[in-house]
Amino acid sequence: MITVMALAVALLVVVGVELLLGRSLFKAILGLSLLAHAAHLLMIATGGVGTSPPVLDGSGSVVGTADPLPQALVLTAIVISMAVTLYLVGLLQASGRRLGASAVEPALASDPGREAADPGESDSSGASP
Amino acid sequence: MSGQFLATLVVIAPALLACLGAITRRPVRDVATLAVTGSLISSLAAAWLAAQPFRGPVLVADWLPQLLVSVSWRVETVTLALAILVTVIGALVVQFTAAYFGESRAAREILVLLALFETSMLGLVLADNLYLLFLFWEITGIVSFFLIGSARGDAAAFGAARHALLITSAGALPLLVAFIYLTSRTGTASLSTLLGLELPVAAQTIALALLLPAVVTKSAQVPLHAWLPGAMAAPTPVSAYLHSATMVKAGIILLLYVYPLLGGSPLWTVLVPIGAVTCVWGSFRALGETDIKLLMAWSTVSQLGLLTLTIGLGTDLAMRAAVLHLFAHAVFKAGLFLTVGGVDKAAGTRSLLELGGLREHTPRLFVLAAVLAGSMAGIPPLAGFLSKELVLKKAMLSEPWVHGIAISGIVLGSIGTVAYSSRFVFEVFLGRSRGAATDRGRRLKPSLLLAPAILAVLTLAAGPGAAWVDRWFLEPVTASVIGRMLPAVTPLSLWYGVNAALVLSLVIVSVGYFSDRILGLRMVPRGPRALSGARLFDQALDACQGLGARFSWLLASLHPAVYLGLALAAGLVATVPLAFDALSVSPPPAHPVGLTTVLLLAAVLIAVLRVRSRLTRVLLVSVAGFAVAFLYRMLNAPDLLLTQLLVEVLVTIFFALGLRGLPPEPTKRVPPAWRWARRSLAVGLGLLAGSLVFALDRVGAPSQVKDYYLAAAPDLAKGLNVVNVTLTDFRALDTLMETFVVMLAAFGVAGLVKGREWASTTWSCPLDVPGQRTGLLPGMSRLILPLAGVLAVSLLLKGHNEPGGGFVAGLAFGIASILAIVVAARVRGLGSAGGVSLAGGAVLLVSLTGSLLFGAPGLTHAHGELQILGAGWKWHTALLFDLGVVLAIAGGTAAATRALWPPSRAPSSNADLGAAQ
Repeated sequence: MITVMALAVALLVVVGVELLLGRSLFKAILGLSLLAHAAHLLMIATGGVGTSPPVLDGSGSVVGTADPLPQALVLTAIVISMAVTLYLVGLLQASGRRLGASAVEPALASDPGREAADPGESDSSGASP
Repeated sequence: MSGQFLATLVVIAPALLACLGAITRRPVRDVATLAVTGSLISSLAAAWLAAQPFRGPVLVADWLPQLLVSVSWRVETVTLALAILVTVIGALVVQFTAAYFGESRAAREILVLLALFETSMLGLVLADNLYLLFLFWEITGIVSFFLIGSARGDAAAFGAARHALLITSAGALPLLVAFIYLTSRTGTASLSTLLGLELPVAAQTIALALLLPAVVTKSAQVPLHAWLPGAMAAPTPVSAYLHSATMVKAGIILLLYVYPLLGGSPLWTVLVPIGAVTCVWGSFRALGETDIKLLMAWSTVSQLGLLTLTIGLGTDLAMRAAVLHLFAHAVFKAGLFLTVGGVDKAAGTRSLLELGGLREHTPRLFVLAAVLAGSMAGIPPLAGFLSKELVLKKAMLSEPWVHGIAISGIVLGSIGTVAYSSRFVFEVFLGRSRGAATDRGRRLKPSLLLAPAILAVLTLAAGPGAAWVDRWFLEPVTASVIGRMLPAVTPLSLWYGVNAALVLSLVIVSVGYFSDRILGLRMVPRGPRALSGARLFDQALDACQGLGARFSWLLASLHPAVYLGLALAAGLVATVPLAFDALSVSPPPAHPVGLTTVLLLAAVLIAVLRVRSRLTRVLLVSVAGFAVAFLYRMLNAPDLLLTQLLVEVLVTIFFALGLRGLPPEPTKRVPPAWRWARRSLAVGLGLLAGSLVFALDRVGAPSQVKDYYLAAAPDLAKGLNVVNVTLTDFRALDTLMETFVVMLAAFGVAGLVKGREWASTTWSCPLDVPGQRTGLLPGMSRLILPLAGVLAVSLLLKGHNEPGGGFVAGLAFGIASILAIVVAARVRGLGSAGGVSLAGGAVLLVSLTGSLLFGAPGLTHAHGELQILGAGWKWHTALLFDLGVVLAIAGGTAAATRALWPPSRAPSSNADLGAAQ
């Protein structure tokens, strides 16, 4: 199971970072959500996998029960990352409406290092994990 | 009266009275009178203290005792003498300023600033605590910034003020280090205590090296002198104060103060060449100026060099000469600047090329100028002669190599001084008028002559009264500077008999005078423009700003990906060993179902990168979320499974609402290098995160918290779902805060989107065709809400013992209400959502504080069993807490949805729309 988790975390981080470091605010939000998933899985990993959920049957036996603490923390983390996403979507909507911008950088940015970009294809082409 | 009170009075009286006048909006004349009164009160208090036998530090108040910072004054003969000098000249300058400006807003400001400056200078002179001294040192710089730049809208004045401020503050930084060094080395920050100590020579040298930049910048020594002539942008009376007795003397005064402590360092002698170069260069540049105010400014540079040189000689007798010249220079230079102000008033110009023959119009000003300039040139029997004689005598007694530099510096500088002094007197007042401006020269008001006259009388009286000056002023002040009685020396006198110093004096005066008379204005050497200090400073400033812009592009780029990428890369590099460690062991085989899930996840994520449509991307990401939820199921976390599923639904709804009407995605192509850097960074971080999972698994230490929670949940909290018990009981405060975060985010969205102007109203809900409602969906929506309510209540109720709980129930209810309203397109139904959310927050706060009423810590829960109808009903207040979570989450998400909702789709506004058409 730990191998599955590692693979999932790696995949999520690769695509999350790729999206986060783009120039589109929208993609950055998606990237953050994916990174949040990865972080949640990592946190679960700190508690180990266990063989039964931390819902007791009243018998008093706790052998093999998964660690409830990381689960509780991750539960609130999921809700919070939802709240953050919600807020970012609001930002996206507001910036799109008011500024007419969909890029992360403001229109007046003058980055000397990125002048050599020719308009045409989107930067999303051909990126794969 | 106590020493504390009097010494404090000396410092604050000028500023206090002037500010009083300004605050009560008195006319300028009254403000000036008050400021003069304040200065005279200071003078009298200082004189009173000087007449008392008490000498030593007085502590007024402890400020930061841990850091040895206190408000304490040093009552010594030298500090009091300097205080009297500062206040007397301050009073005269204030009187002159009021007469010079007349009634104007500028005059009021300048008077108050002058008084503040006087107080800061007095604080600098009298401070006993090193940090207090530093504080006043900085205040003089800041107030002088406003004084120099007081001409409104004058870019040149602002530039000069900035130049002065930056240079002097930069010099002050090492001064603070020097004080910290001295304090940490000796354990005391009191100057009085320090002066009684013996420091090793190495320590003396370190402290002096740190202190020198402050002296060189504040007292305008070459090569950091250029701010001083630039500061001539200030009004003339301000220059008279700043550049005679106060600001520029601060460095010299500091040197005098620390001489007993640091004078033993071999580095002390470096002051001689610095001073010599400054002395000669200042004289040379003064000869090149045609503006008499700039001439005086360069002359000040030269005289400061002379003072530094004299102090650099480093003997007790040299200190005696320096003290005398410091006072003599303050008196005649203040008088000369005021005279320049008088000339400007009388003739309307300060240019040597236009002035001439002013004696006929203002004979009294001519006499004053002649006396003061004669003192500067060192003509007997004036004060300047006395002091220059002393300086020359001391220089001749010094060591051979110092001797050469010192003598040549003094002689060359003084020849120049005589030349420009005579030029000032002869070209301005004698001869015939060269320009039209002089012809309409006006008689000067007597009030403009009062201050220079008093200063001229002082400088005149010093010569004949030399013996008196020596006995009552020079001897006690010098003794106080060097910290012991002077050995028997020749008393100060106009006539010591024929000696080398006298001969040199005669040579200096005659050479200076004749060279100026013979060569006249033709001898106008100009400094090379490329070496102009102000220009060099401006260039350096520009270069600094350019460098700063470069750095800020790199580190504070407007594009977050730049520094985000840098930070991520740094994290990657830092944790590489961890990855190697984790990958050194072969991983256990993957679970087949899990592996399938991961393959699905991989396919979805690749698709996310490939597809173009935003909505498709959102849907794919939520599919990835479902895959993660399935992993939670495999990881024995049913609560997380439920939460994740509901969250994905909600987020998808938000995106669907929030993506409408956005401009298209940016199409600018990212350079290949950046794209490859990004990709490799992503892959590197992915590998790292994956190996981190192995590493965490490998640690595998049994968690004591886990065991405790598992044991305590059924016993203490009466709950079997330990995750829920943790949320509502063990770590309820976390939950409370996190719920508030969700509420904040929801209200934040409402604030962000509020007041929007919708460009398009064409968006339509796919389920809702205007004018043609299908009966089925609205009908269903009436069922959805009650059903969802039941579901939420059951999730809430059983959450304590089975998967479920407040968050899950809240999300479910939020989704249901949103869905019902999407279907019915009735946004009004969400109007109370914010209120519901707030109510939930209130419930949480009640459960936080409720248990306090029973004397238990906050968020302690009670539980029990109720016997109703013969059956036992278990109850626990954790349920109440969870109810708060439900309300807060459901209300918050619904409120946010409402904020993102297009107003035109509401049925109520459909009617408005129809009316508008």
